[in-house]
Amino acid sequence: MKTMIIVKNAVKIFDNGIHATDDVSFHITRGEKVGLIGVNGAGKTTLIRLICGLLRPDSGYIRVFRREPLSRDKSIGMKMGMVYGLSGILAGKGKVSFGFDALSAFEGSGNLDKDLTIKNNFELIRTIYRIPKDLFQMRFKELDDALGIGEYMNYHVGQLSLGQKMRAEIASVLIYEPELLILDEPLIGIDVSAKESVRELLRKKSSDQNMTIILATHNVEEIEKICDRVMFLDKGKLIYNGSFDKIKYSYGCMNRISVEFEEDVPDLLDLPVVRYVIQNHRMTAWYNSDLVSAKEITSFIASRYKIKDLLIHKPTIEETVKNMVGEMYT
Amino acid sequence: MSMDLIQLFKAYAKTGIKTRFQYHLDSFLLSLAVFVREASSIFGVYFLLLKFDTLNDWNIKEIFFMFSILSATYSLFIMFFMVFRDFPDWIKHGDFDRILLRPRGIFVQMILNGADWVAALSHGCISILMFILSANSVGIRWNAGSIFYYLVTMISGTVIQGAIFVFFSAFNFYFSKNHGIKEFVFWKSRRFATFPVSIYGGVVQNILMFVIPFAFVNYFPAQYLLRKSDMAAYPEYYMYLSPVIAIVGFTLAYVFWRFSLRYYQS
Repeated sequence: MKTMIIVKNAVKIFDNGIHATDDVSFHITRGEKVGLIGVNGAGKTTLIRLICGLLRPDSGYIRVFRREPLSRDKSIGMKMGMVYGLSGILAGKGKVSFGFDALSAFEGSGNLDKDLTIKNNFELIRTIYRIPKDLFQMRFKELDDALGIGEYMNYHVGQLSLGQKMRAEIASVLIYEPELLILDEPLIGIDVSAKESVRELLRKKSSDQNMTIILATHNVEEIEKICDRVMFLDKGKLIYNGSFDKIKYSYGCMNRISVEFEEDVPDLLDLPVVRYVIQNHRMTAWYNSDLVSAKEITSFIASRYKIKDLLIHKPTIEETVKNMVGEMYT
Repeated sequence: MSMDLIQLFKAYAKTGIKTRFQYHLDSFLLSLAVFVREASSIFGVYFLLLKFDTLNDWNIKEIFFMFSILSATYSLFIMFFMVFRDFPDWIKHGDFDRILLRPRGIFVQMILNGADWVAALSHGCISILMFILSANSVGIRWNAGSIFYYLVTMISGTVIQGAIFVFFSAFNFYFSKNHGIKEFVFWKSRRFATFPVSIYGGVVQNILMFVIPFAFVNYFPAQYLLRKSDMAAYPEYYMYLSPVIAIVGFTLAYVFWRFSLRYYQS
């Protein structure tokens, strides 16, 4: 297996004292699809910028294609593609306010020049990445079929909606078929049906060319469909690095049910749940959804007491990972 | 490689021209505004010369000729070095990050990437107008030698102004805020360069010759072609120094810029 990215003890502390990347280490080998998850401010974008060479680590060792990203070696640029959505830009610029400022910052950034038409942008990319014309046309047709960008060719990037722009951004990177594709919240603003075709395209392209993907997002669905490994960042620390299935099957099925009764409940000893807490006429229980369904639990309870209100909570990936990490440490 | 560069240049030129002229009315009004601003400063010179007839032996036509060199080189400068002029915005909007991530020379991309065609056009028009008004009535014998000298002057003047902006834009790698020093220094010097350098006091003269060398953009080259009496105050070889200053100045600015790039973080 060919190692493509090595990150060892990378630390990045911003001027305001925030440890955006705190002693992070990992390897990514060729062809891997890695999902990077974590809440906003967890350090996803900082990590990506360190890998791209847009930020300098305070300490630690980073190599991409066996080169230091900050060397700005042209061979890295040829093999790497990056798409970043709104949150990536906000985090990257250290902006907190969401508003006109954030949006106008977004307008300017990305792989596409906002002052140019899509057509001109692609023409430029074709020249920069030295793509032969016929090959370019062939690839473009494929991308157009999946992303439907052909109809905006003569629009300026600045005139496009967020979704249209993101699709064009994705196409502008896939057109030169990079070996390493880095996506930071790439599906922002894209509508549901288009999302599916983008995912399908990414899956196809990446498996056809054994493309390595790093996908940063807070949307688990995207990770689930594209990635086989997950790295979970929390406050700059890498707290989980492993297969997605492991999270999902071992820890992801722990659902929570909250029930409010009309009267006080003495006890529910024989309830088929993992554990439960009762306080006056409220009860919270955790159950394994693989072993028992919510229906079974509720009908069991309803046969004995009068239910006033009921809430079932499926854990988010963040909660799942945190539960899991908590379990590992305790 | 050079073939490759030509391809790249062609691609950029194509997109550059198309886009910045896309918004017809905007471009037109902006051109007009720049044109009027420049023309008004020329009128200022004109009225001044009505009163004094000559400034240190320079008559109105001769000053127009010198001004045409300034405008022409500025027009060329804006075609090649606009990105360095607007560099803080480029960094702020993430455009510079895009360039950094692309597998081509950073400097080459920057030079090819932007041209303020609106400004280039209006300054170009002014320079052509001033040239037509003066070139045939200031006693220049246009032959192969003087035309060659004039062309070298154009290139040197463009490169000298480029060097000034490349140098100042390097500071943006250290300080994220743009303090406007660059604009102040550049525009003040450019304003001074409207008149013969010899009319100023020692400090301003020295600044214009050795710090922000606008004197070598238009004054000394114009002296070569016009031979005015105030040239006696300077060494003869200053008239041949512009290309040297352009090459040395630009090399220094470039080295400093490349060095400073290491401190850049997006």
